Amino acid sequence: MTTGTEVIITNNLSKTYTTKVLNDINLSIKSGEIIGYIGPNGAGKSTTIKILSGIIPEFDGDASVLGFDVRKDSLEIKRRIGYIPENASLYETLSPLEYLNFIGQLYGMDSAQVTKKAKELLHVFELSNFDETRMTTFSKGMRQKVLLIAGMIHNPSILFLDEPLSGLDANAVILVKEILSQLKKSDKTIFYSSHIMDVVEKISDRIIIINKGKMIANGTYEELNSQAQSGSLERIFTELTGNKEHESAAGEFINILESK
Amino acid sequence: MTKIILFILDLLKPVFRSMNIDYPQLRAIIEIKLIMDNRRQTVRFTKKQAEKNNVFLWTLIVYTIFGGFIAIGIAASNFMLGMTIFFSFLMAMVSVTLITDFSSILLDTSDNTILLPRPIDNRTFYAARTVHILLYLSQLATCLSAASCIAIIWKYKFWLVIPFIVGIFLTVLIAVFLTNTIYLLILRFANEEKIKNVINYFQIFMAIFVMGGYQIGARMLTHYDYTNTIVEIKWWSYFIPPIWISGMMDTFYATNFDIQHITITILAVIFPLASLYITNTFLTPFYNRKIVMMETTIISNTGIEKKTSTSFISSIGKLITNGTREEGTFSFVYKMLLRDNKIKLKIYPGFGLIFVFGFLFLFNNKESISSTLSNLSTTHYYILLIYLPFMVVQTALYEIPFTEDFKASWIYYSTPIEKPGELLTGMAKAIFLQLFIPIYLVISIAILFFWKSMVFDDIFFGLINNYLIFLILLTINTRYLPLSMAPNARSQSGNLLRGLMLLVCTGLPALGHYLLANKVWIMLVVLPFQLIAIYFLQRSYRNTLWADVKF
Repeated sequence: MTTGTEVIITNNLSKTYTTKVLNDINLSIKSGEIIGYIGPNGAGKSTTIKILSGIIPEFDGDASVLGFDVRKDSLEIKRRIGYIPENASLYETLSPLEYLNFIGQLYGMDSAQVTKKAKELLHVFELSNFDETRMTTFSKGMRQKVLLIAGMIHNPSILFLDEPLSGLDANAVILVKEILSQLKKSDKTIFYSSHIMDVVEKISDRIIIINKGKMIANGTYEELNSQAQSGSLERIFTELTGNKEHESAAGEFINILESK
Repeated sequence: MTKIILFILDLLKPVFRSMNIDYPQLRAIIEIKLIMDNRRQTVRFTKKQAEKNNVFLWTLIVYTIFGGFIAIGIAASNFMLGMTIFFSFLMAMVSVTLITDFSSILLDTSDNTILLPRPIDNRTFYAARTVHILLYLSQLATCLSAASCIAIIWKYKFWLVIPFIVGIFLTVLIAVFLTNTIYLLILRFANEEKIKNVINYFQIFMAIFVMGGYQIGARMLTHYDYTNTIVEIKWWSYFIPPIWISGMMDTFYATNFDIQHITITILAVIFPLASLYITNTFLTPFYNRKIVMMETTIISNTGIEKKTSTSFISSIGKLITNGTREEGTFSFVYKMLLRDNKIKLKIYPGFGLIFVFGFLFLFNNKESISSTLSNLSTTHYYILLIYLPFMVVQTALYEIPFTEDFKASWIYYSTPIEKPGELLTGMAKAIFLQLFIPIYLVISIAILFFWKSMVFDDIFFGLINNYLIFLILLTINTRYLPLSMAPNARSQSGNLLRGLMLLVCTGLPALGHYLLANKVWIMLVVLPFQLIAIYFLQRSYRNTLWADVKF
């Protein structure tokens, strides 16, 4: 696959539970791109990712990933993508090595090969000392590192990450960002979601903003920033970048606390 | 229901006050816990899970029916014996439920971040949890005792119901305080890193002890003449809590106020109060701190905590499984059976019970032990022994889908798994290899020791037959992926029918073996059919599709 092929295409992708959580999402993402999928809590980010990674089969509209129809060929897609959910749980009583081994085997990889790979990856993430320690004692950041490895162990061409940086310490954030840009260089596509923009703005090629199930912006950080300046995106943009003036609300909050 | 319970609690307010418990806090915690318990079953997944709403109600109904049988026992025997049977039964049931199901409430760490930062003192926190447990156990005890109350009114005097009801609550209190005291002692003195394991081993041991003791006790009673056996207060009676209560009942029934009856009545009343006082003064002050420590496990910098060498097992796994997905699930389940404390607690007591049952089967008659042993080789008891280990496997199959970590099962849906049947066979093989084969070997050796090599064919035939029964069980059972379900998400629908089918399908092959015992040539004829059945059942199980898997 050469750079520039379209790897994710959606056409009026919609999803309705009791209310419409996704409304006519049209995506067109090329290989080698890093996409920031940004929106406030409850905007429909996780739902989009779950549909694209073949976990939710019922939806309206069309979606294809790597040329496969998401509805029909979800197995083929799952083989070629990595998915790391938000607040993911793992089987804590296993050690990272055992856990990664299990995951690798679910992907159909040979146990010896996974073990070797997992050991090396854990070493990169500075978890070598703990590779045979049960994860019950792990901090949130350590777990997140294990999950990141679990999502990539089978060398996927697209990586879906739901809030990948939550709970990581500053060093790990830098490391993850660095890994993501390296992955980009080897023509991997990365699709991550987040509810804050500033953490990842620098590595994203493109930022897509969704709100209440609708796509409201699509462009580079600079493009979006200038649109926000001109007013069209201002409210949602300031909310996502966290710059909004919340003084009046805060003042009211204090007043209520102090009343009576 | 919640309102009635809270109303009763309000009546007891002065009691809590006198123990220096902050009653409004206690009431608030209890209220919120009850509300959550009522809702927990309904709002889990988007799927149709309404049926689970009634799990507890079902338990209550089953317990009421159980209680009916015991009431027959009371009606059929003399007063003291009936009371002793009843209160032993009640205490055993309450203790087992307490240890296996409700002690998690006492040792819960999930709401640490919610409750512990608030100004709640040790006593109130501990009391709230104890009351929460007591509420459930009282409901269970009420259902277990309902029929017996009627039996007492019918057979004896009406007013005896009053001390009887008091006795029931004393029984619950004794069971709760005894168990809680032991838990608190463990919390107080066990090494922090080991607390969870120590508690787990204690629970396993207690489950074996209580269930085994109850079985032995029940069998011993079958040798008695119900109407004429007199249970007298002997020196050892003072060490057996259920006899305190039945002794107390006898004091009222026979209006017998001799020194023994008075002593035992005082014991029955004083013991719960004393243990309440002791725990409240000496043990609860450590409670909050220790509960925090159970959660915050500190990672040691060397990082070498528990290195497990499972290379031997994984090489066996490679041999008997087919494909990486089956192999992966095999070693996953194998490890989880060794490590998940909840699962261990449900499964491991079964090993102890095998020996209790085996012992009971052998010596379930009035002959002396030596004559039983010398006649042993002429009997067919060994067939029973061959099928005893299956008990553990059955429990394991029942428990393996359920875990606190069920959320981690997202990996089954994010990875490319075409046939979940491959995962299921991996799971099945791990269970059979780990929980059946070793104990079967031990039992085989014991059988060969007593019956000599003439039963070797039966041991071999039994192994094949057990595996066949195992596969039948797998085929009938609801198919869940291993460790993928929330602990209280068990399906209740069609349980009776399924239970009957299980009984027939698993019982018939075992019965068949009993009839064929020692008839080598018939076994040789049957064997190919068994193997064919095994082949087809295993193949169809391995071909389980996503549509057949429940999640």
